[in-house]
Amino acid sequence: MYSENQIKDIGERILKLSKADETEVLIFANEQALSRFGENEITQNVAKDEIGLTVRIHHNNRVAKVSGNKSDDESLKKMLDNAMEIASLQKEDPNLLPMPEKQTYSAPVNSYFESTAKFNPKDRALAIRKITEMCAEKGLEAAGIFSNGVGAVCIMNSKGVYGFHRGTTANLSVTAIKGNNAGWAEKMVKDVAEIKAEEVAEVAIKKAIDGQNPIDIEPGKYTVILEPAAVTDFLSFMSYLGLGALPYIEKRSYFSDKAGQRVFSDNVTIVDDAYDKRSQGLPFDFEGMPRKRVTLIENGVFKNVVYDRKTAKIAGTETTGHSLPQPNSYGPMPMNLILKSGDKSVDEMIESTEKGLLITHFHYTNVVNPKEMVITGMTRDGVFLVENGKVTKAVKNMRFTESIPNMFNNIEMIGKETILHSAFFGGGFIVPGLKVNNFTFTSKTEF
Amino acid sequence: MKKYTDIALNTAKVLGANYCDIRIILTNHESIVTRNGGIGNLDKTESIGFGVRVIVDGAWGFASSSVLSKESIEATTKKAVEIGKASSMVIRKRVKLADEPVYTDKWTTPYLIDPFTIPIKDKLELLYAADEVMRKDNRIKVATGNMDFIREHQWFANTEGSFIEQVLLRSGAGISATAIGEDVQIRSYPTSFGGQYMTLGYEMVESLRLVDSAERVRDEAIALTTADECPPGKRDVILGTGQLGLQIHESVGHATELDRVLGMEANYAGTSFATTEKLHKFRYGSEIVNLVADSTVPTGLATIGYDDDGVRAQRWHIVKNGILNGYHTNRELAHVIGEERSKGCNRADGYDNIPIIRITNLSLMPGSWELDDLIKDTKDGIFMDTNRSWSIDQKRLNFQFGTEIAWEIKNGKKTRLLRNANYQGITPEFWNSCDAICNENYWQLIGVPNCGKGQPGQRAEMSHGCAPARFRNVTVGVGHKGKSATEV
Ligand SMILES: [Zn+2]
Repeated sequence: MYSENQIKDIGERILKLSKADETEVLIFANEQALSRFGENEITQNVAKDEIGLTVRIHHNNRVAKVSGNKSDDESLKKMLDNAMEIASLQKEDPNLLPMPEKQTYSAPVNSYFESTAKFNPKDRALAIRKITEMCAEKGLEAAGIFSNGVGAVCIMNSKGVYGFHRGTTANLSVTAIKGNNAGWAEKMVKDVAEIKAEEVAEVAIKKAIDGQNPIDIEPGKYTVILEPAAVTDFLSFMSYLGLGALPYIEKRSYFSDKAGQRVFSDNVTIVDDAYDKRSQGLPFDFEGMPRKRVTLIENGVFKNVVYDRKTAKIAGTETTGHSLPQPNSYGPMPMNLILKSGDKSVDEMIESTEKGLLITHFHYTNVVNPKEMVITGMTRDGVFLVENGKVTKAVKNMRFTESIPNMFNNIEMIGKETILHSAFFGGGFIVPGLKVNNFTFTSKTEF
Repeated sequence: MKKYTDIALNTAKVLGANYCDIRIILTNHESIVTRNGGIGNLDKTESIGFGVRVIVDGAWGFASSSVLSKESIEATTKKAVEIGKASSMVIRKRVKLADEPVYTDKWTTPYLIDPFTIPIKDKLELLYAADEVMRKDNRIKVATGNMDFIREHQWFANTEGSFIEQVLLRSGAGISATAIGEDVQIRSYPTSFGGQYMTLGYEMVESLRLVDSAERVRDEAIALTTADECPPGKRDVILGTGQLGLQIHESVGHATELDRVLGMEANYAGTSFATTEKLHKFRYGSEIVNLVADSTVPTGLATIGYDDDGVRAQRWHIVKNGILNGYHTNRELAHVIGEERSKGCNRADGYDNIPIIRITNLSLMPGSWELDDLIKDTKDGIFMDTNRSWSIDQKRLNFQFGTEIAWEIKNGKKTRLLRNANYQGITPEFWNSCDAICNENYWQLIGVPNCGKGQPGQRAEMSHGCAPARFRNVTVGVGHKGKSATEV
């Protein structure tokens, strides 16, 4: 793994070698390892250690960007020459924003854990062996991954911006399979010591066993208890369809022209907060601006979207520090969404339900209508019928086609337990489970 | 490069590996996106690195690095062997590779014009010209243009003695217009999500005539905002190539990747209903459905000389006269279905990933219909084209696709324009309802440059050839105005 000093040295050399009016360097360094298992054995086992450099220049009101992974002076010079050439071949951009001046960032939450960085292939194999033994004992096949890694981000520019952040993540995901049906559980953490492999495996195994002999039910509207993993799809799609400034300004967002209006159930509050101790904690964005805490939805009322400098200028407001690497055609995006948790356990949600479905998670969710935020996807790895406050039977998988606002407008209960779920560009969302009424399933499948 | 590949192979042998291969890859990538007359993205990337894969004590190990030096290759190979030893703690069977001849060869994508020699200025001018046409009407709020060029120069060597050098070149380009009125509607050309991609040079971009198509793209996007919604119900559906390509991809391609079928993707991408006992027996589609996998078809995105197992490119039937006839395989798993040789489908995303089974170019063979005759022959149907959204269950049975554009067909005539069209089905039922396929004059390869699979996630590319085809009695208009299909 590259150290902060090594990364900083590369950035400084680029800034020194550059002849452009303004220069920005964005460096990602990653050391990642992943063991994959299937049919109760390790099937793939990989490691990577790499660095990626992106240089953006502004020269004579023109922009250019070049990337590479070689850091010797000669390669850096070649990159910069390329950038100057690309810039020279363009028309002038009168709206080009100058790069930001030096910024100060709040202290980030702790996101680097030595335990995770040092976790080795043998440690992963021992955990996987335990999981596969537990599954084999019950006549199940285990499939999944155990991964761990360190990632670093560094942003610097010729006007004094300097930001460096390093974080670790580990993820254990287990699918326990028997015949046509499976159970699934996952734990994603910053500190690998928090992963108890047996506990994750037990949840998956129980779902697989309880999931045998599923009954056929007809699609239609149901009360659903969505476990946190099932809620993540709704937050992820909302983050990029609706909560960034670009679709909002262009009136492509569901939230366009809805500032101050009640859009969701009044128990729904959604913030973007890199400073929550559960978050990944990157305190700056990819143009070097400090990341602000933004309230997007408060008690069901739509408050705000997130901005970068470019969209903020158009909208006549200030950046919230949510830029993606510039230039880009997506606009800014929230990376640390937190759906405010409630006070109910999954058991309490089940007990309160006369008739409903308990959903583990969804598969291959995709957008049906971007403006109305209608999405569709399949249930997966454990759907259970709840009758008179008890889980009674396993149910075959179904397809939902539902609008995100409709889902968030029918929330009866919010869970107290949350999970960390990985989001775009190295972000992470904090997500509780939900009890939702009138949730629409539109078709079914054969297993 | 041989001096580098030898270091890995020798180091692995000394450390006790039974098999080792190394891939060194130099990648050049140029990505250009224009948006509303300005730069959306403009990135030129050059990266190099290598990945070493070993079999040690019957188990796989893999490690990669972006530093190409003797010390780094030795250290990375050592790391791969250590990882392989850890894998061997949890195996039930030893990895055994199907035999493949030893090759010393160089293979290059055939092309006319190297896209990296065309000045950025010319590329931007072309995209800006299309942009200007699309934004001539102020109801178009977002116009985008896109070009993408990737050259992968690879050197592969293994301990069996193969040394294969390949230069793969892929080009992509497209435009899109988003109209905003009552509704938000996008229209793109030649296909959605970045346009058409092929293994060709800049000649492909020129042949697309993006600027000439910009007016139609603009007008269709605007017309769609006020078009009627696709009504729910059961209808005959004719799929254009811009949608049928992805239908093949999702419901046949992924379902016949042998690693999925065997449960190796169960935790992520999923498994498959097309299990091995169905081989040569299961009726996948109607008699006229022939789906051919072909890593040799000219201009296909998965057209290669050799895969990342060092297996030479091949052509075979996945579905023959409607019956399941084969799978996508690699050297590790071919034996499971009683085959002695891999079909050459093991491909890796870049130097830093392990090869896994990927769909190759998979195409529906043309039929005999003229498109006009097919429309004339359809009483009550919908013609849908250009994919907008896709979703399918983890066994690849229940799918739902949305398209950018659709027209109603009434009594043999293409009539009103429809927006937000979608259809849903179950894979074998759907392919069995296929009763007409247009002829070879309508057949074209549709590139999929962004197929995701594996953990860590890997991207791969492939093409799907097809001509418009008709499917009977399909569920359409799911979720129309908040009404579910079950309420129809
Ligand atoms: Zn795919």
